[in-house]
Amino acid sequence: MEILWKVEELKKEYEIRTEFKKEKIIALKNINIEIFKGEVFGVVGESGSGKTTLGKVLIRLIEPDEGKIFYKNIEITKIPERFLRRYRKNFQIIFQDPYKSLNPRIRCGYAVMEGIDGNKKEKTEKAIEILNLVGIKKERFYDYPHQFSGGERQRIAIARALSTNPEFIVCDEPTSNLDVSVQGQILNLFIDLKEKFNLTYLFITHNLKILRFIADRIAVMFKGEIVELGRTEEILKNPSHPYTEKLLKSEI
Amino acid sequence: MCLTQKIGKMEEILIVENISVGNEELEILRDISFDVKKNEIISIVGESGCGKSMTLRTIIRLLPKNLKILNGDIIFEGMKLKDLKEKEMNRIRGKKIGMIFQEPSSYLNPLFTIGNQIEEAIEGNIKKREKKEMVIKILKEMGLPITTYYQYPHQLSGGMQQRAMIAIALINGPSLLLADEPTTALDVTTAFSIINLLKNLVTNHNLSILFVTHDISLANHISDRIIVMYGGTIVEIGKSKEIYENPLHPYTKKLIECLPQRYKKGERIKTIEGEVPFFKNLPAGCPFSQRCDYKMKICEEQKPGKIFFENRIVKCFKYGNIVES
Repeated sequence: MEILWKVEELKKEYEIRTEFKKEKIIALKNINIEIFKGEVFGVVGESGSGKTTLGKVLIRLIEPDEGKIFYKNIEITKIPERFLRRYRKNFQIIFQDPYKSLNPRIRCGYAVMEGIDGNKKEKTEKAIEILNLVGIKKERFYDYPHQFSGGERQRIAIARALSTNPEFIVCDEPTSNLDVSVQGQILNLFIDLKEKFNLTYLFITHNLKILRFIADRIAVMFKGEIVELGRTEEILKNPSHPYTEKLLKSEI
Repeated sequence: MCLTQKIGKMEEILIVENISVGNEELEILRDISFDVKKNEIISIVGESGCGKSMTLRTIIRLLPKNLKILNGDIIFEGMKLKDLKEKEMNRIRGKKIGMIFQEPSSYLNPLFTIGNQIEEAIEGNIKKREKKEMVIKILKEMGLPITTYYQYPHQLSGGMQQRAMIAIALINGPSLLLADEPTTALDVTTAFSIINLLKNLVTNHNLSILFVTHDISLANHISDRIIVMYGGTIVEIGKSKEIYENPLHPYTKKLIECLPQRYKKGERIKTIEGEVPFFKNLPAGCPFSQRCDYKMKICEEQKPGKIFFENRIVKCFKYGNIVES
């Protein structure tokens, strides 16, 4: 299998300054992972364990302190910011809260058109096509985000991510703000799109039920480190780290 | 109406009878009746827009200004809540009925310490020192360290904030707790601990909980009985286990079918087609008729009435031709 991402010894610290003291919080350390093309790589962990930071560092929305990240054997961490744009269209991110990730003053169609190249007519056609793909009808092209429900907004966020023809998408808890019934629809959509475009996902969640359903391999994160890594079924069957056991126990 | 007037049996702490809520133009809630027994956890399940939160707000009479209780009765510990004056209702809110919400961070005041905010909720003439003792006792019970007394909400994690909220709701020893999706914004492990905490409170505090959630598997785990709501009305009531293992109403069936844990990798989740209709354009017949697989001709024309079927109440024409009166 082709290795899409290779991460070596990644480290990221945040500095928290209060009036009296400086504190360092380790968000990521000793991260070594490989992500293969076409797989769903799940990341699970409690809040504050560095799941989101990992996703963001990978696509360089946050600069790492130490470590190397390779994207198809190109060292992403060494590329200067201005050349990085060339690669940026290959990897996208979908955030947790569709209420915050869409600009309330931009019509949904235009929001999708932003990422597409070409003249206006081509852009519009492509945007309609992508919106149709995620299940938003053509008639709603000129609607504003507030006119959509939560699930529909998440669909628009997915359409925006797809508009640049990416290879890799970071899904940062994309369903945790949604109803259970809508969650099912969005998960189905993720699988459909993956099969259609041969996408690779980094799927961040704290819900093991979803991981069991969607992820091929999972990494369990605890306090900034990956404490377990392997095939989903194996890890969930024989957890070795106490935190994984705790996670499994708290499943309802 | 006098506060001490007793109606109904004492075993049922809350009886909601044929409540409908709305205004001249539209009805938001229609024909809601259920009861909450002593030391019971009962869940209300449904998608967003089904009227779950509105039911809670009706009970505690915190409805938006343009909505009114049109008819029906809410009887809490023998008192008719609907007829109480606003002043009398204020005495019940917080003291007899506590309420917790989904996002604790937006309900705690960022400018006051946790200790301060719990003390503020204490009703009655109590000395400052005794108040502090009470607060520290309840903090311990909630599993919070005593130092939280002097801390501000932003210094606490989400789970701790939710525990502080529960402490505020319970400081006056209410007999009913209304919980509006208290765990949806939390981590899996934290949510689990909050749910265990709530379960313990029922036995230790002589409390009943009305728990609103959209996750029917969570409802099955936490509660004794489940109420399934759709389109502003109750479609099924029954024991949790029975409902979860053998759902009768087509909507309940679909709610259970769309849980991801029921599917293996590579399969597709069976979802509910369409969306919850807005209250303005509810269909003339059964509210679920547009999305139902078992739709018959009568479903589009008449509203189904209550049918008692195997210890349960179902509103569906599949189980008998009873029309809503």
